[in-house]
This record gives sequence, structure tokens and C-alpha cells, in this order.
Amino acid sequence: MQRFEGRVALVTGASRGIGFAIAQRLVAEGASVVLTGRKQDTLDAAVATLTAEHGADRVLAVAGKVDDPEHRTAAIAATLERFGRLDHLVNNAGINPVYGPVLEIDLTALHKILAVNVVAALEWTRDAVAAGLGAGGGASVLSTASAAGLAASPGIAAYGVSKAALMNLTAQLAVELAPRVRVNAVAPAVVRTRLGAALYEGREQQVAARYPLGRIGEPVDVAGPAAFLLSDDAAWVTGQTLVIDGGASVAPTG
Amino acid sequence: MTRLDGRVALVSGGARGLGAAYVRALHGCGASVVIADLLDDEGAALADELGERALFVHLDVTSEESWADAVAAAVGLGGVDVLVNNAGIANAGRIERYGREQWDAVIAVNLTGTYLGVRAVVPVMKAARRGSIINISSVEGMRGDAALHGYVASKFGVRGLTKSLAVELGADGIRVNSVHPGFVLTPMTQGLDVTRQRIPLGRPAVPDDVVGAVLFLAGDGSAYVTGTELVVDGGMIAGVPHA
Repeated sequence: MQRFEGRVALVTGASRGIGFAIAQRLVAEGASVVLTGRKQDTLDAAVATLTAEHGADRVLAVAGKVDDPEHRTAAIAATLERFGRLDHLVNNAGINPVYGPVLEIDLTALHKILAVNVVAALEWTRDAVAAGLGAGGGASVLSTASAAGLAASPGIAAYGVSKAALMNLTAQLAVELAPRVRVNAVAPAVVRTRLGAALYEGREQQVAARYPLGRIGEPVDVAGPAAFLLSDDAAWVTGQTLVIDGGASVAPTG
Repeated sequence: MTRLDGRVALVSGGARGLGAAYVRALHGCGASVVIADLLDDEGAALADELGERALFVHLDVTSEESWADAVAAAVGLGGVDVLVNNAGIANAGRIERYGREQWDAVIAVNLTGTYLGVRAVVPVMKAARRGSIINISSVEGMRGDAALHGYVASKFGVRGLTKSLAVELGADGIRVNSVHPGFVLTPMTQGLDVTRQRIPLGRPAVPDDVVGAVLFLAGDGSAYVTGTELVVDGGMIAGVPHA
């Protein structure tokens, strides 16, 4: 018996990177999965890959912006129409458009970061629950936070602020949605993705040396923990953020 | 699902309660298991019941010699891929009455016992260049609780020891994490009033609720997870009580 057989999951920001790795893992473990992302062509490629890997007609893509209410409504409606239910929501889509000190940040950019990384997660969760997530047993929500939200993160300060808020939102939602829906988060450190590239490209060895496990993360490193937290194996885990960072956050800095 | 075929797991305090649940689950995933406990009859009975790939060994976690025997038994099965430092005791008393004997007893088992277990398995894990050490702390390693002075201190200690080990042993392929169960119905919590606990998921845990976390940390799905804390508490400590 696979952990996600008969279950339906929706993963935002799933055309590549961590979101794709999570979707791939859920499909491999039996779930039907709806992927969202901004671009139809990269989404189509993701769907083709997953369909080819599993020869299964269990994958659907809906293109749109994660902070667009119409897209959100359409994606949830498409999920119910195609698969008839929604058991798991993965708030994975996130942006990091600016670098530099938080005191110098462009406020329009800051509002955009918070809209996508925090407010959208709340709205997707609210609407998913309204659409029936939690009506059956075993429902869960997972958000992709970041180790950048655990402490000061020079250079990506605004991103860190948004991810700290997302972790607290996780705890708030866990308490409010208990006992029907479990809500947890993962907090990865630097992972080999397009979003993370600026943090390691050209100096990967130097970055990896700061990690006790001696390497930066790969998207698949996040998929295993994500699947665990979404599954019934974590049936008594809620409100938690699981740090996935090769030990970086407990190692001394400098 | 986690598969642990060909792996060997050693579980301290594995004869009953949460430890026995970990033993059954690890065994069910294909691992060979060493059930290490002071409770000879219950441990031997569990090993008999599981049959192949299960072995009982007497273990006093406060004794280096006893740990050496337990690890030797595991090496006889092929090595030690997973150590679950689970053995623990609890005692309580208002601080004026919480005496040195109580303090020493709980620190000796919960904290020093964990330290000795790690010391015993690290040479074997280093030689194999892989290993997962799972230290069972508690939600009491994340917060305070009246009268549980030694227990709280020991569980915070286990949480801290986990982090120093994770930093030091990462380069050797050894991962070290802590698990923090909430209120679980076990022989240790018998007699405690569950109605006093505020649990968002609306019920206390049974041992099976916690095994998923241990299997996850034991297996390759957590290959990049080290030095972290996995709280399994039904949301008990997710809220800050303001009222």
C-alpha cells in the first residue's frame, strides 16, 4: 500500500526545483497531483516528465500566478473537477526578487515578497479548506519556508522576514485547523534551484564547506521530508517546521 | 515507504512502550534489530515474537561495559546503521523536595546514557562511513514544566548534545537528530492526568504515532537532515498560551 494512494495533492510552484521534486515524490507514492506555475510551457514539460515516469494519468497542470485570486479559484476548481477531492496542499511557490540590506529595500518589492510568500499561503490554505480539504481523514498542508527565516540572513533579509512569517503562520493555522487538518513546514537551506543559484553559483565549494554534511542541498533532499510530513506517518505532527539543511543551522558561523 | 533491508538498528529501552514500538516498526521495514533493555523478560519475549532478525541484549545505559556488549551484539548482526537512544526515566517534585538522588538518577539515564550510547557506536559508524543516530528527547526538551526539573534538564541536554554531534560527525556520514514526543500513553506516563494537557489534535498519542518520525530519520529519505528537532506532539507546543 503506497502512502498517497487515492489521495489528491495540489503543489504550487511545481514546474521545477523543490516544488517539482515534491510533486514527483507524491506521484511516485500514488497520489494524483495538480501542479501550478507561472509558465504553461515549463508546466507542460513537468507534466510530460511525470506522466512518462509513472505511465499514469494522475497529473494535471494549471498555469497562473500564485498571488492571483482568479488563478487560485480556478486551480482548486480544476482539482475538484478532475480528481473529485483535495487532501494535501503544498504552499511551495515563493520568490526572492531583491538582495541587500532590509533597511534599503524597495517597499514595493517587499510588499510583493510578502504577498507571494506569506499572504498567498494563507489564502490558498483558507480556500482549500473551504473547498473540502479536511472533510476526509488524513488531510494536511505543507509550506516551503526557509532556513533564512530562522535567524538574520544578510543579503536576503526580506526573504528571511517573509519565511519567518510563514513559519509562524504554519503554527497559527495548525492550531486553528486542528484536529481536521495538520499544517507543517519545511525549512531548507541553500538548495540547487534557480531561486537559490545566486547563493552558491561560482562558489559552491566554499558554501558547501559550511555545511556539516559537506554539500548544498538537492531538490530531492526536500522531497523525502515533505512527503513524510504530508503523510499519515506524521499523523501526530502539526504546527512544526522541519529544518533540512545538512546541519548548517546548528554549525558555528564564521 | 522507508525500507531498511540489510540495516541493523539498536534501540535502547526497546522492550516496552515507545521503544518496543520503534523496534517493531524498524523490524517491519526490513532492518535487523537489537532490543537493548534492563527488562530481560519483556525484551526476550519481544525478540522471540519477532523471530528472525531480532535479538535481545541486556543493557544498563549508565554502564560503558554494558554498551560495549550491546554494540558487539549489533556488530554480530552486521554493524550499527541506526542507534535509537530511547531509554528514559522520569521523576518529579517541587524544587525544595527534589533531591540530589532524583536529579542524579534521571540525568544518569536520560543524558549520560545517551552520551555513552553515542560513544559506543561512533567508532563502528565511522568505519562504515554512515549512520543515523536518533536521540529521543521530549517536548520537555523545548519548554519548562513544573516539578519535572531533572527530566526537563536532561531532555534539553539531549537536544543540545544532538547538535554538537551533528556538527562534528557530518563529515563522517553520520546524521544525528532529536525526536520530541508529546504526551504519549506509555508505562512512563501512567498515572498522569491527560485531561490537563491541551492538545490541538484532540487526543494523546499512542506509541504508533511516533514511529513514523523514527523511521523517517532512520531511512535515506532524510539523507540531508541532521542536527534538527522533530516534534511529534499533536500541536501541543505550537501555540503560545495567552489566556
